[in-house]
Amino acid sequence: MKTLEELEKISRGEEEAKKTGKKIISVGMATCGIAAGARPVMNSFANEIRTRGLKNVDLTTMGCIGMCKLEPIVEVYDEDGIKTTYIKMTADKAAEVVRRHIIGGEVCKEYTAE
Amino acid sequence: MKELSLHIMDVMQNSITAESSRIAISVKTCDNDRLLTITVEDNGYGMDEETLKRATDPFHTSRTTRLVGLGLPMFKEAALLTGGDFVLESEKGKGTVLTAVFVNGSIDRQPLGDLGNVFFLTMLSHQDLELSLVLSSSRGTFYFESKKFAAALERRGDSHMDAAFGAETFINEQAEMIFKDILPEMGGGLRGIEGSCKADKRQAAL
Repeated sequence: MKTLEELEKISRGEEEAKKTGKKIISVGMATCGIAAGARPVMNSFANEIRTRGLKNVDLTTMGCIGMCKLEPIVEVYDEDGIKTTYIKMTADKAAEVVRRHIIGGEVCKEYTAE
Repeated sequence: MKELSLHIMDVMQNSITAESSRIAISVKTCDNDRLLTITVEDNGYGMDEETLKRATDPFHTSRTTRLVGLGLPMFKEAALLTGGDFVLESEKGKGTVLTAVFVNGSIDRQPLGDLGNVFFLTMLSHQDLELSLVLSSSRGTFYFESKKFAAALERRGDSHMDAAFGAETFINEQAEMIFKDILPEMGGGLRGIEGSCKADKRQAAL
C-alpha cells in the first residue's frame, strides 16, 4: 500500500514527464472508449488540427483508465504538464475543446470530470 | 462494436499497450471468397500461457490485468456467431498472433467498416509504429506499409498528418476494389454503420 505522499510523488513525476512544450490530446481507445464512440471524437480532433494547421499539438491514444461509464474520455496535457480530463465527449464537443482549450487556453469546465 | 474495423482498432490498442513496434494486419477471403480471415500480428511482449487462457474469457478479468477485458471476447463472439473460428497464439517476449475467421455469407457477419480510418488514426497517434496491411481476395491483393507510404509522401513535402490522411483514402479505395461484389457492403461508398451515417449527413448537407 502506498502512502498519500508517495502517490503525490508519482503524480508529480507523471506531470514532469509530460512537460514537452507541446499540448497533448490523448483519446481513450480501449474497448469501452471505442464502443462509446471514441472514433468520431478522434476524427473530429484530427480534422480540427488539420484544417486549422495547428503545429504544437500531439494527438495520441490511451487505454482504459477505469471510468468506462464516462467514456469517451479525452485527456489534454498543457505545455506545463497540467492535465485536464474531459468526459462523455462527442465530435462537436471535441471541436469546441480545440477552439477554446487548445487555441484559446481556456479549460472547458462544463465537460470535465470534476 | 458494430464493425470489424473497430475490433481491429481495439486489438491494435492491445498491441500498442504491449509495447509493439510493428503490427501486421491482413484481411483475406479464401475458399472461393466464402470465408473472411482477419489476422493481427504484433511483436509486443506477448502473454504467458495462463494469461492467454484467460484472454478471451470476460469473466476471468481482473482489474489489474490490463490486457484482458471485453475486447477479445467480443471479437471472438463476432467470429463465432457467423460459424467461424477464433485463435489466439502468443509467446512471452515474442508477440501475439490473432486469427479470426468469419463465414462471409452469414447474416451475422459484421461489415468491414472504415478500415482506412483505423489506419489514419493509428498512423497519426503513433508515428513510430510500423503498420502493414494486406488485403486479398479472388480479385487481387493489395499490400500497404505505413512507414514507406508516409516517407514517400513526406519527401514530396506533405506533413505526417496529410500522409496519414492520404493513407485513409488510399486504403479505402483499394478495399472497395478488392472486395467489390465479394463483401456485399462494399461499393457505393457505404462502409459500415458510421460510414453510412456520414453519407446520410453529406446528403442532408446537399
